[in-house]
Amino acid sequence: MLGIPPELVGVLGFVVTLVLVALRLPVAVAMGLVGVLGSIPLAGWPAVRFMLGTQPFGAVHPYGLSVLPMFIFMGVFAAHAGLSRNLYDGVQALIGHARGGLAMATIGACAGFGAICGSSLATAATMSRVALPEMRRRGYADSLSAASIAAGGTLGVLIPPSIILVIYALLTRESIGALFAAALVPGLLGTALYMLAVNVQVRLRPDLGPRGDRHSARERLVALARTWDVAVLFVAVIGGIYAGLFSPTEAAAVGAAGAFVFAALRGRVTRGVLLSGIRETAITSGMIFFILIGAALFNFFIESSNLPQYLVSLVDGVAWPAWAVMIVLLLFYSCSDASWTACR
Amino acid sequence: MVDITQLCVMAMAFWAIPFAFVREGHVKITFATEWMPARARSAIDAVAALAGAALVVLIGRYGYEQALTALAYGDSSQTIGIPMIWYWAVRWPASAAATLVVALRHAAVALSPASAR
Repeated sequence: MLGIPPELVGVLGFVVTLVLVALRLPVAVAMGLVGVLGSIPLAGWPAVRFMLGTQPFGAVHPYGLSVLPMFIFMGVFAAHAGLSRNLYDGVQALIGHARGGLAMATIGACAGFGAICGSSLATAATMSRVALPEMRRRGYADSLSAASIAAGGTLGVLIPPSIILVIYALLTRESIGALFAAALVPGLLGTALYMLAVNVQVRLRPDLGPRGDRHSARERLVALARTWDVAVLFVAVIGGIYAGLFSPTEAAAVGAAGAFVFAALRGRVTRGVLLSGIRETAITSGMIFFILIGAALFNFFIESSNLPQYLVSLVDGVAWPAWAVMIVLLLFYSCSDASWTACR
Repeated sequence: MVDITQLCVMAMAFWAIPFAFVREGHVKITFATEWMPARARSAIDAVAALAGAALVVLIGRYGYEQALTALAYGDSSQTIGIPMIWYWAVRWPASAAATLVVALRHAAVALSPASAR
């Protein structure tokens, strides 16, 4: 195009997308539009026209994507069933008496909820409903309460099941089960480190999180026993995948049905809850699927620009040490993180 | 089963996208424009809605073309042979719905700068 190398057009496309996103354009729309408009000079209108017909279809068609709405549904109804409340009470009975204990309990409960929910947004939203009022009541600083929920929420995508790992697995043709297994240890490590961070913070500023009441051993056992349903769901879904009993799609269906049954058994499924649960599932799914479509269009543009091959040849050419490549990659990903915040 | 699941997911995805537009469910970044006056932000939102409408119009328009091709070739799904046109049929009206919704929202936003957030 006008003598500009296609790789440069690719880089410009990235920049324009980021600017559009900063200007409040929905992420999916920004990626899709830049993908379409940018591809026209690079690939020619006939190719773009064909791509506009086929890519959105192809982005939504893969069978593996069927797990997304079901994992979302599972998280929504697990929250309605009160599983998040029980988790919080359980962890709180164990460590709530310590200084900053409620904040650490929040992180622990987020990790537990992450084991039955694949989305960070849902985990943070659910836990803020459960844990925030409790921390406020006990005089915790808003800064510490909000931070522990926001940080804890990120465990939602790390600890399997995870929506973003499903998408990654489908895009890169990796095994969903293997990625789930790989994320478990970082997830647990994250849980421990976030708790440690809370601990350090309240040591430095004890007024942030006052001590709570100590619970008896019996109370702890009772509170922990109430979290049995979370354990059952986690073992059925993730255990089922590892044991080879279910494919990820089947496991997601089992989880969605299970969470719904738990909610129904507790009499929590009213007409209103059912409707709002389905609505929430639909909105989140629609948002993710639209981003997949936008990403597919954008991907066509980036492929047409030859940028990936160019970058690979650059990396091959300079023969950097592995750690330097790693740092550049990390920088790159933290810059492009904005577009992924969406799926959390 | 695989074919039916895919058909359901496709219908669900394309019908949920306009719904997410209605409920403001699509992810956007707002912190970079916080400093702007409400009027400027609502103007940007109107342009953004127009851009969204343009994108779904394009997807709908050329998706329709592909659908006609699939119909003409009589393509069918791999396992139980559902005609591929069904897969297009469940999504095409949704694309049209999406277009309408985005366009309406654009109009609403543009007409009421006072309601801008």
